[in-house]
Amino acid sequence: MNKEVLKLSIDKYYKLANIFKSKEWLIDENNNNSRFNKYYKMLIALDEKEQELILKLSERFLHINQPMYLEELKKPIENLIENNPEVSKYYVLPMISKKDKGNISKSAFQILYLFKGSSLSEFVDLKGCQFQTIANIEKFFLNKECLKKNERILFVDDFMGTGDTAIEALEYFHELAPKIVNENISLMSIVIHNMAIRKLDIDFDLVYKYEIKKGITDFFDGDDLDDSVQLMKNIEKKLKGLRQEFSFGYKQSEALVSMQRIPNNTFPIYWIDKNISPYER
Amino acid sequence: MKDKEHILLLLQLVKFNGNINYLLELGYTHIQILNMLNIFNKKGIVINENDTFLLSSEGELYLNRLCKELKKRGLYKYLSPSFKNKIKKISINEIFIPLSFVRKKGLFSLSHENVKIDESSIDKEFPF
Repeated sequence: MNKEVLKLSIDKYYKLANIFKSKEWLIDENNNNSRFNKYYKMLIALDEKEQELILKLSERFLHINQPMYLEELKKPIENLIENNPEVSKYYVLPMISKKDKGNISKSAFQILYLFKGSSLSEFVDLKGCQFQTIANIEKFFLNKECLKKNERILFVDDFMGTGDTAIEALEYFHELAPKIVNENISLMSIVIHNMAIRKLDIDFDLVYKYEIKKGITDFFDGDDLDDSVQLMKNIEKKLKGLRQEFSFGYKQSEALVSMQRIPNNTFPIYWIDKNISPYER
Repeated sequence: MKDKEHILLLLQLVKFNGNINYLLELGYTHIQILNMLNIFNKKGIVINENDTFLLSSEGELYLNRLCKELKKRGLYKYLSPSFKNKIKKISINEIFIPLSFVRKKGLFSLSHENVKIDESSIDKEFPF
């Protein structure tokens, strides 16, 4: 790498520190693996204008890791119970497609697991509702064709990006339980992209804590938008291993989010190049 | 941050919005640098407004005072040496033989506790 590029002015350095402060992200004592140092390394790989853009985007970056999940589920669960006062029993299913069935490394299973045991009821007032987790959908729907009036299906995940996974999960579900209609299904996620909301909002009861938008397209306009898009294209030229399908994030989601694992919907500068990116997938 | 030369470097970096990498190269951690900048901020040495970081008039006075103390005059008030390339001062009794001289004269067998060979410029082709 050209030595000339390894630059970060005091202004921008302090701005980065202020972003960390406002987000309550820890700045570690040790430089090596700290998130602050990873952000610093990302910035010094860029030129000044590109650094400015990344700092602007990082101000809106949302990072929710696993220990925060229980607390972040509080609002979606309260909304779910409020939206469905007649329901007293929910069957909780992981939001995974048919090809991922049994793949417990999917993040949806992490959320599913939180519905087990008593931790959730200690955090949220469940208003007497029962949440039964269903890990093996095929086995469960062999014996259960219909729902009672007080029962409802709840699909869960930590993040919904384009909404494609949800649609695939629902297709698989309808294969197994064709008699259960969309009206009886709720979808829950801690973070949801408005691309997914637009796809699913009409047919389903959606509950979530954070709604995110496209990081550049939905926040800039006029010349600012054109300049920012061009800058991001220039940044992407510097990234090793970037495939076209992930340019501006999967299906151009332009997301600025990381959950326990960073989704591929996020701008690839944040995750694709291990020498530059502050997060790994 | 105790070394006054390094504090001066940080003040110079603030004054000219310089590259923070020069301090990291010296082995400082982000926490140490940020703590120092926060102290500067609290003491009114720097002004942090609208994403810019400036030396206040008080900061300019502090910079001048520090320069006087460190005997930096003229251009050296605003320029610090590249610390990572600085060679440790040797005593008057020590003999310094530049490697180019050793190589030229073929003095490979020289060894004495007061003989210092400039090892920093030994390249890979050199036979020891």
